[in-house]
Amino acid sequence: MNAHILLPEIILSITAALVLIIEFLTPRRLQFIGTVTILGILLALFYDLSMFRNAGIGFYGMVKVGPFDRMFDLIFFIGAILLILLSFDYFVEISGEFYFFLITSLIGMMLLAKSSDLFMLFLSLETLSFSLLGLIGILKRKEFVAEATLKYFVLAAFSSAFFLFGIILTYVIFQTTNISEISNKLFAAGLTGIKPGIIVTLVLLTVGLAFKIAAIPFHMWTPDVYEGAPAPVVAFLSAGPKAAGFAIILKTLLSGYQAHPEIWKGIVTYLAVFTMFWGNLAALKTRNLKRMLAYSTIAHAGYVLVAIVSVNQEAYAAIVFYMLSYTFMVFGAFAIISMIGDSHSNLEDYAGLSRTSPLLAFMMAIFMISMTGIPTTSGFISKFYVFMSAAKTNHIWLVIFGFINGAISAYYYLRVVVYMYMMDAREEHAVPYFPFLRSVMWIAVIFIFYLGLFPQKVFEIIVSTL
Amino acid sequence: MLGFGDYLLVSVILFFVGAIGVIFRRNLIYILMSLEIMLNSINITLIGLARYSRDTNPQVLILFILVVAAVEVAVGLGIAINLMRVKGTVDVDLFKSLKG
Amino acid sequence: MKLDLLSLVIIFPIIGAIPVFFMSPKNKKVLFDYTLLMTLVEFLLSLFLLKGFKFGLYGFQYEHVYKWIPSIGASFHVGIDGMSLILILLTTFLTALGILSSYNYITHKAKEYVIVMLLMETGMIGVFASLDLLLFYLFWELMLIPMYFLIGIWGHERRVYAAFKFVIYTMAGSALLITGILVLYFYNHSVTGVYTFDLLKLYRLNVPYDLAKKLFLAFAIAFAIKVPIFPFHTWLPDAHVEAPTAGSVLLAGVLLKMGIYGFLRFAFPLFPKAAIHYAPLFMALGIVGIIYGAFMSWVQKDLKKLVAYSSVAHLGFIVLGIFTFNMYGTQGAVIQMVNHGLSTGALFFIVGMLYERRHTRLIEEFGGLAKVMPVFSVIFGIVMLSSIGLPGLNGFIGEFLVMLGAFKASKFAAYFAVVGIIFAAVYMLTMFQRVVFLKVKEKNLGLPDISLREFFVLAPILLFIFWIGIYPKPYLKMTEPTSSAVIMQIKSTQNAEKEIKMLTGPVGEEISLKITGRKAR
Repeated sequence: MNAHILLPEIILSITAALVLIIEFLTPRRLQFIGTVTILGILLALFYDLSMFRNAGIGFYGMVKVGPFDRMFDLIFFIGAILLILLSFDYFVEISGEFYFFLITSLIGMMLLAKSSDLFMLFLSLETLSFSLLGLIGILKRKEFVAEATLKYFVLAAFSSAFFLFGIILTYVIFQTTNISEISNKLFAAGLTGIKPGIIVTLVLLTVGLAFKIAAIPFHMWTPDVYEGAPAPVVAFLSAGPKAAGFAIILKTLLSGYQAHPEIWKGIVTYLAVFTMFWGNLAALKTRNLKRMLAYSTIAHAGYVLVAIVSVNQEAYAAIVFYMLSYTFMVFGAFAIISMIGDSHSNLEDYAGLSRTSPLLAFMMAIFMISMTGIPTTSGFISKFYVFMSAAKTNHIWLVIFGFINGAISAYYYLRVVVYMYMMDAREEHAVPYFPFLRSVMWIAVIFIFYLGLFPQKVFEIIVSTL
Repeated sequence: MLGFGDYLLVSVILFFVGAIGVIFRRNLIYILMSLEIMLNSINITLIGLARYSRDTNPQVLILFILVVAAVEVAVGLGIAINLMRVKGTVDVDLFKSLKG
Repeated sequence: MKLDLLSLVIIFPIIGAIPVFFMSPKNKKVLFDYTLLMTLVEFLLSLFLLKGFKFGLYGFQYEHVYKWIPSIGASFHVGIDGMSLILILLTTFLTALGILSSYNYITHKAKEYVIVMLLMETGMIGVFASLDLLLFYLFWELMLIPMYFLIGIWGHERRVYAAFKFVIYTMAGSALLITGILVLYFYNHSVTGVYTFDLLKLYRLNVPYDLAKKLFLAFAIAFAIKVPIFPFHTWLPDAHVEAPTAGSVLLAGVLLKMGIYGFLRFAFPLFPKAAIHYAPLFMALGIVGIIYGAFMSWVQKDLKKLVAYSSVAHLGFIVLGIFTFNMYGTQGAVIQMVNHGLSTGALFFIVGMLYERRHTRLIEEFGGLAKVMPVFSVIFGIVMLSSIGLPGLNGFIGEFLVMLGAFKASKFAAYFAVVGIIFAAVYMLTMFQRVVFLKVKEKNLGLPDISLREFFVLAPILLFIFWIGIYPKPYLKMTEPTSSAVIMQIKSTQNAEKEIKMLTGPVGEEISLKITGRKAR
């Protein structure tokens, strides 16, 4: 069995049960339950780090753990902890189930990154999707939230069905769902006779995956869910689950089908180009900040797909670094959106922010600049790293497209800055003081500049896990 | 005599029937049913596989998929009931407050 | 870790900006006094650079390498040669004057203003001092944000549009630049097996002709947008007109030079053959810029727009100069960069002063200023003449050298350039006549003459206008090694060392002899 390699997940499962029990005994004590959750996560993190270099296969080949997968765990943990901090100030009265769902989604993501079997991948994906539904729909009595939950549910289930069909077809072709066995068989036998089947399979798999990372043309759910769901949850959505989505792509395409990249590379290249252009162009006309960030997250998915196309070691490291830095950027931005208020997320609501609360305006400007990819912020280094991996394998046009998209995106990111600094508010509201939201904001800013100015240390760690 | 290909064909047809249902149906309950059709069509492939390859693994996979399908229905119906309470309808065309 | 002088000069403005965060935004005077002090200290520091600088030496001085991101071969590698030094001095000089000129001009968000100015100073100096391609790109892009704020917050009516246009243009150019850098980086790795962004190591690379042509275009378009060379210039008038005075001054004085600097420091030495291949194209574009800028200036009703288009013409001259690939042209272009920074900077200051008084920049609104503001008019006249290129003033030296160079490289080009000079005289003099002479308009009767603070803004520039005009030798000498190194790098590929030997002579001496009639020591 080799159960100890999943010790962090086991700890988290126990914490999840504990959270439910506490909620049952003393309902609605948000900060208490949240603290328990954080402690559980920290304990899991501790074990994760103490076993960082241990690699192993467990659960009859269902999971395979290596340092690189634990890197992904780290991103998930950071996202979860930041979400808990945000939730303290954001939610007034919700049930402790929120934290239960948070932990289960965390478990889902961690298992995703570690599964070495396509079916295991599917199961953890479902765990993740259903837990996220719990998070998105936590304020279920709100009209927007109810609709957002519905949309996410339908599209998640829909895409999972495609993904599952892809897995089953893989099983039909290879008589196994184990990723490394698939890879071995592909290396040994080649493509003769099974090429059409593999292409169909890959299309189905890619459709399913594209939904998860919100790539074109399977992005429809993103703007609606982003606009409807509570801001902290949205931040979490675009950090953790998205990283998990890329982890799946790494598993299936890069590991499973690595013997013949040429059969999926074309699809992913087009996916990358269309995703970044469409995301950025659609964001140009949106007036709602949450919606705009939804399109921007689509565009960012496009950038990361560029790294996947380049199929090299740098790509792995670049994806992890990108998701790490992106986590801080979105959490920072959504911390401020939470402060201003979900229902006030139109650009007009940010007019004159530099006058009413200069600090918030300044921080928001930094997050926007970082998302644009201006140097000294982590947004630049992460983007640069991704495109470096693409340039290495001579995908010059992808690199040019990527940076041109940076220029396009400058328009709508900086428009936020325009509203904050160059327009006057119709009426001025003082923004209340939220200690936890502010702490998240500060953490985000510190890491954005740390990763942007001195990325060496983190590079070294990531590269050493490859 | 039926071959595996026939199972696969039926399964693929059913899968896309379900997919088209999800895309074009207005009523949430129908959408849920279509999703079920999609998942269960996949099961048909597995049944065929189990029948012809004398392999027990597909049957195990079917059990897992059944569980997932059941969970999906439970969650979906929960969402439908909530929507009914909040908005008084389960017709997805009437959900316009989020444009999409 | 001990900080060397050059790195200190680079990061000092940012350090100086930190206390500003804790100062009260209410007290504008204190904010500006403090920032003025910081920029003066910074200027002083850059003078220390000059003091320790060894003239006539080839290669880079004050060179320093700090570890930055060793895993991808990027380092904090800084160093300066004569051209960098003179541009850094220009930067610190103009920034201090810019702060001094903004005491009355900036009416709101003074705190943000000074932070932005200081941040920008670091960016500008960083661009001129970095010898690492990634570091260079970092500063190059870092510049964008302060300039964007400067135009967007403190600009005029169409400021938001102008700010966007500026950012999007530059970023589109940088997309090509960074792609070019990456391709070069991986090419270098495929040849030498080393991952490095270090410019000096990349200099040794001999890029094959086909690749070099593509890379040169990628670099050149990015730089051409910044310069701006003719078809890419449309952002410039907007940005200039909408920016506040100090923003215009820095834009004209320093930012535009970054493009030229990029050509001389990166595009030419890295891809010499490609540079020769594309030289006729860029010379033609330079000439088009000269003529086009002159014509556009002629028809402008807005003073600031006129100066902006005259910038296009001047930059056309400089582009022409650098693409002649001979000592005269290059030296002329480098010295003309400084001249343009001084005289156009001064013109923007002057337009800003007029705007502060009348809140208009339309030429027809003025007239007869000579009677109401005599001192101002005299200074205006001198600056205007320097911009035209009157002998004895700084503009002449640059233009004359560029003409010489152009004449050597292509007579055809030189003829057009002469036409450009004539046009420059026409539009500048017409404008000057309409603003300063003619009848005094009633609205202008009560205008106060130049104040002491304003005088101190313009006086240092005047000093240099005369100094460079009369005795340019130190300046030419400072930039001579750079220019001849650039030419050497280009010509050596053309197998024409003989010509270089002939031309690397003491040009400064020759020129000062021609102008002053006496032999300089």
